[in-house]
Amino acid sequence: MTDKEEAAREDYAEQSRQLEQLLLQRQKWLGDASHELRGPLNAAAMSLNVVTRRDDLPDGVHATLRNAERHLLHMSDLVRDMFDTAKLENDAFELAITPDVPVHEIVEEITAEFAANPDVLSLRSVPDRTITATLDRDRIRQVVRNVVSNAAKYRQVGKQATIAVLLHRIDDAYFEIVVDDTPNGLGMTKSDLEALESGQPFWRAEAAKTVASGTGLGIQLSRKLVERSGGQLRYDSEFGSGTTAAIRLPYNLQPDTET
Amino acid sequence: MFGRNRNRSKQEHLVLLVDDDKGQLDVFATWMAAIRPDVYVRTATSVDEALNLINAHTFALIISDYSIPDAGAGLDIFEAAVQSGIPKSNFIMLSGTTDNLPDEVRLVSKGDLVALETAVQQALV
Repeated sequence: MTDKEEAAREDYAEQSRQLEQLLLQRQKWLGDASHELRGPLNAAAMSLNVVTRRDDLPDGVHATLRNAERHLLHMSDLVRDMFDTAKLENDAFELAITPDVPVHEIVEEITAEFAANPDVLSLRSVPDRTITATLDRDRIRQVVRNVVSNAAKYRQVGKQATIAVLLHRIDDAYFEIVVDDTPNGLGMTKSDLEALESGQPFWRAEAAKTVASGTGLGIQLSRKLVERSGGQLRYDSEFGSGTTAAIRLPYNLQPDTET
Repeated sequence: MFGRNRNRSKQEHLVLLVDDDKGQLDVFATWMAAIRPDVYVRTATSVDEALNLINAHTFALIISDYSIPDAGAGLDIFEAAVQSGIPKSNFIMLSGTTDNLPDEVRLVSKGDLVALETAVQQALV
């Protein structure tokens, strides 16, 4: 190697090191900013939550305060999803891959979390308990929580949600977590599904906007997390009946398969 | 109204809340007393303060912020809590973002009050 080539190699290595440092700084900034923005929002929502537990509030005040609490939490979720989306888009996002994760534990944890939700009439979980996988447990839990949360939120007016969460094998390479909210789900039209598939952040179906608050980011973030995990998130839906979301994932996510 | 330091004799569970923001911590303590009037709440605003309290008391539940103030500092409290004998399921980590944590740590997204209340009720059976 000539002196010139050696100098160019060292220069390249130095620039790579500086770039890596910048990416780390950006990741830290995104995390810190999210933390600092959400803290006060959550404290305000928590204060309202305390007050709404009182049973001596004048007529109308309870509903007004609950509404304010919901808006604050919505804003907090928006901040979280925006920063997570930014991390993914900037590739400043690493998966913490754990081998041999019993996937049924994730399913059961999330179903237990939502079973007590007053908006949920029934939540049935049918997990294949033999499935273990190499994946980022926290991120997949985040995806399942998001999909189940949507199933609980987006239901037909005047009805409670009926949700089934299945975990089953597809073949030797993939398994699937299926969340089905029929028949009480709100569902989506064909054009809604096409818009959803286009991957636009902040997009929400018009009917969905009338029944619950949301950011439109969680669903796209979930899709990116699943794709980053080597899988696919697909939706099948009928307006007025409900939606079936299928989270297909590989048993073995290798670090070099991350895209 | 809800109190956080009422007559200790009527309160069965000792709970430690950790957050470096004193104002948010006070709100958190008030919320905890509202959802579980049977708890006695202690608070800490730093890792050192939390570790001292863990060494001096037996807590039924510890809820800590992940970033106090540096990301990951909450893990020091988790390790001390486990060493003190508290079951891992009775330690809840709150995170403002979805940080990657060891599987054994129970994470609740900061702001998810439904998930937090569920986790608290499950821990304090």
